[in-house]
Amino acid sequence: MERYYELNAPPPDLPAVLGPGGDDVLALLDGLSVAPGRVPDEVDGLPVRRVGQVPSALLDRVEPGWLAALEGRRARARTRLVAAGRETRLELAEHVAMLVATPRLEPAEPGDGDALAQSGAILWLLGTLVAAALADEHDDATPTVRADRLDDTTLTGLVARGWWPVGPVDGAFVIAPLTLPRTCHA
Amino acid sequence: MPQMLIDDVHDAAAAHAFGAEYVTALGKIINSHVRNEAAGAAVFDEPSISLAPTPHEKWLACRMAMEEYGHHLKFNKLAAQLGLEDDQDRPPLSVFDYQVTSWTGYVMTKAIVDLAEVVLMEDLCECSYVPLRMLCRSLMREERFHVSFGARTAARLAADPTRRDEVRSSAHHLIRMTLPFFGRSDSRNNEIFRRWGIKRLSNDESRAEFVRRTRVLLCDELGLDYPEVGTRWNATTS
Ligand SMILES: [Fe+2]
Ligand SMILES: [Fe+2]
Repeated sequence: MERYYELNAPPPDLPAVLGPGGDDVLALLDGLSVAPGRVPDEVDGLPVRRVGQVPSALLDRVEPGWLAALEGRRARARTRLVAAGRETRLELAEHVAMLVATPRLEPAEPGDGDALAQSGAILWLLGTLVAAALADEHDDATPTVRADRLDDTTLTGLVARGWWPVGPVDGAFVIAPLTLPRTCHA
Repeated sequence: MPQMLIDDVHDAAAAHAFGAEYVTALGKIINSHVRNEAAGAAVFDEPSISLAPTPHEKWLACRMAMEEYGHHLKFNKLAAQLGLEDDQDRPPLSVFDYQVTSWTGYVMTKAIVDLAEVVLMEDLCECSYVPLRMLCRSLMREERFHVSFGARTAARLAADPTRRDEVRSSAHHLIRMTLPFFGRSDSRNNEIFRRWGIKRLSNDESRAEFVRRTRVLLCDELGLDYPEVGTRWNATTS
């Protein structure tokens, strides 16, 4: 397999190389370069609040339980993939995801701490969703398991449509454009 | 200072045209960055993501970990272009033996170990091998942010009486551990690096610059004392 050091876009054969879930990984990465789609009414049973800025004060108020659930989801996905002998696929997917996403989420202003924190949060979420996609870990954000993981009320579906699911804050589910770190001057 | 033998070397083919000594010397420098950037991300940054006291800081640590991983890969690419063997199995420098067990400890690695990286990279920003020069120039922005994040956060932590001792002890420990990072005072390698225009500074000059800057951080910005250290180092490995 070719070794990648820098990537502007995911390699075209990525889904085939990754196997099951590979298409979702590609969709997640494509979401980093599309204009945000329609705003869903509800995510995770909460009304959606679309914001244009995500200052650190808002990031700090995202429900810790939701973040912990995602952390758990990442760990479960990893365990399943290792058990299935697909660890190298996971490593490749994470490697490609970080290579493509880190520069795409580069803040416009050097040293903009808020934008860097936003891009770190998105990178972490992306890593989680990539692992979940490969392991077919269904979306904890949806009350019912949907046939289509890319439905726009799932986290993966939101990212694939150019949205950053920031998380639940004060009874609403906050989303922002994925391009925010590149454009914000909070 | 030894006389420089060459001006700009624009690519791998031109480097090879200068002979094995030049390529070997470049390889030593590039591979040390390949190893240390990866070790930094794996040993310092990744474990620290879970130590962050707030989500904002957790995400910043996450971003910085990804940047260090990216640096590792970019140096790795330069090594591959030069046809150097993958050197990742060699252990990184001893500074990576430092165990990050607290957020304060992590913050101090950014303020101090990344500052050592900045001092070394600034020298390489004038390197005769243009691809390495350009890479280091392109990474300075991120490395300087890492250091400024460390210094700013350290100032906040040092102002907290319950954290001040930990800031001081981590800083002293890390400064002592980082000094050998610059190599031996009588290093034959460094002589070759300077002769070929790969580096401009001697190991002692780089070390002295690190001591000068960390002294400003500790004494002027954090109001702490500076550990008793020398600027020469003559252990048995280079
Ligand atoms: Fe770095
Ligand atoms: Fe750094």
